[in-house]
Amino acid sequence: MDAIEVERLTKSYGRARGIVDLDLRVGSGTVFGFLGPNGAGKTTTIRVLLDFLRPTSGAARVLGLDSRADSVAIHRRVGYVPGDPALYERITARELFAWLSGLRGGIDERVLEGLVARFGVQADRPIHELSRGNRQKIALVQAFMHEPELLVLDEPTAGLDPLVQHEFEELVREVAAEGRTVFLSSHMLDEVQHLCDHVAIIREGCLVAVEEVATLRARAMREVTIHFAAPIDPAPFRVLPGVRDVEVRDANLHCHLTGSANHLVKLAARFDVLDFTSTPPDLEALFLHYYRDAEAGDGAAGH
Amino acid sequence: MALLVTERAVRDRRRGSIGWALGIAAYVSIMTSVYPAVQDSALQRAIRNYPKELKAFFGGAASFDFSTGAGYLNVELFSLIIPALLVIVAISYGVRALAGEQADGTLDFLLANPITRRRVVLEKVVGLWAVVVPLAAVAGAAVLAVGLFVDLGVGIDRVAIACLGATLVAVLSGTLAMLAGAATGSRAVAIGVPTAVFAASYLIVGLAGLVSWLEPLRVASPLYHANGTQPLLHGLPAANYLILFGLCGVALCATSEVFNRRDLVR
Repeated sequence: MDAIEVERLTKSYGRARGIVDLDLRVGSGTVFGFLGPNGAGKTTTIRVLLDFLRPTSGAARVLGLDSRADSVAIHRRVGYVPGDPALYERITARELFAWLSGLRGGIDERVLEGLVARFGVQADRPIHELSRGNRQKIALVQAFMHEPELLVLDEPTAGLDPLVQHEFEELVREVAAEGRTVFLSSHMLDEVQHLCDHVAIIREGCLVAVEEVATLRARAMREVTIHFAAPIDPAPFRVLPGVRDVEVRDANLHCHLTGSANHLVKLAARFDVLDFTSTPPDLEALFLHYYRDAEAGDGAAGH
Repeated sequence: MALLVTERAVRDRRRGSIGWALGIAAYVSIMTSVYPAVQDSALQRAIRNYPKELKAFFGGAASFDFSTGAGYLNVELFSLIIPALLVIVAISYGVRALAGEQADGTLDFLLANPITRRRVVLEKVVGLWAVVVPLAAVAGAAVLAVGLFVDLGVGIDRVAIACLGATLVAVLSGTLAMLAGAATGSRAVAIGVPTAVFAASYLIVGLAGLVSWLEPLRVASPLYHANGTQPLLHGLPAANYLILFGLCGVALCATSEVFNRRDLVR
């Protein structure tokens, strides 16, 4: 059974763009990335899964249950982190956890204590005194504390410092190793590529592609800038696989790189390299790539 | 399952509720304790000479009789001030309960739990009663406490009945705020609808005493049902209170139904 099955799901409302004919399957026990720019429909999809929004047409099944009819049963087995979470401000994290635990009919306190210690949650101060990052930790802990079968995480790492982000990634791997499912949305490829087995790409409410992360990474384009100690001859760089748009000004080389950096780095290493920078992959460029493929009809949007 | 949603809603307002309780207790005690000075005074004589239209607007000539404690308390506290204070508290609770939580985003955390939306509405309305009833009790207790030292000639039963009327009109206003908030998700609408209803119901009660063709309209005024028959003077208006109670129930069901169907956008 798939943890999430979405069939021809359409949600339209008011002026805001919704989602159109979305088909999506998330296998049990996988870590699945849901990738798209802000406003693409990621949050809309997630809110339909949780029955906050009702489909205009189509249906969603979560853990084999209907998102509308069985929402209470689904909520019992799902942990959720909203995008940009707002917590009850006047209480402490400990009070919040106790309250949410009560709504769930009790949880394993050792699991909660483990998570609180692991993320370094400031549990005894009123939440309104805490920073953005510390609130995000609270939102994460409450999603994991009842050991749900499925985690639905909307931009879960927003505002986290790198150490906590690392801890979060570890936790996601452990959860997946236990056979539980993690569905997480992001607008940054770098954020999901270390974690996810598969990634679905959504743009303007439509599913563009579902790919293995390796495939996606091979297609993602980065901007690379290399500062050499002395001017170099650009000719050998222009013929490297995956390297395009090579520009050389004095001792600086600028190019676009798709796929592995192996050849580029090895060639550059023959010269004196002062600095080497590489931008995160540009998601919009990646989408355009998929769009071109989709228009050319070569089935890049396959499942 | 215990009433955890109720508990959260009531606790979050604890400080505000204590403040309101102190304010209401102070206002009511002061107004009540000056009664002997007003009972036979220049003011009372001046009121006797008020134009009858003015008296009619404020509930008829009989209610302006400051020679009895009941008449005085009715005009100065129970015909408007106490209901209005409780209505303000109730509306502010009702706005926060659904529209406010949705706008803040805390509703996401609440509804991601294994709990139905109908249950959330029910528990929030229980919380509304739990916020309003103690404040009404404080108002009544303040009257009775001062009554130990000042001869008001009003029984505990009559005071309790008048407080119940104010409670009912307040709970109805708060539930209407929840209904408007559930229907639109807008704080402004959630404040506006019950406020307009209360203002209109006050005007209807006043004008119905002046304009005879408006008199049948009184049945549409929650405030009329709460205090229009002057329960401090005349006792329990059972039918009127039942109507208010029924309207509270209807508003609760409507809120539950509307909230259960609505898309919760952030």
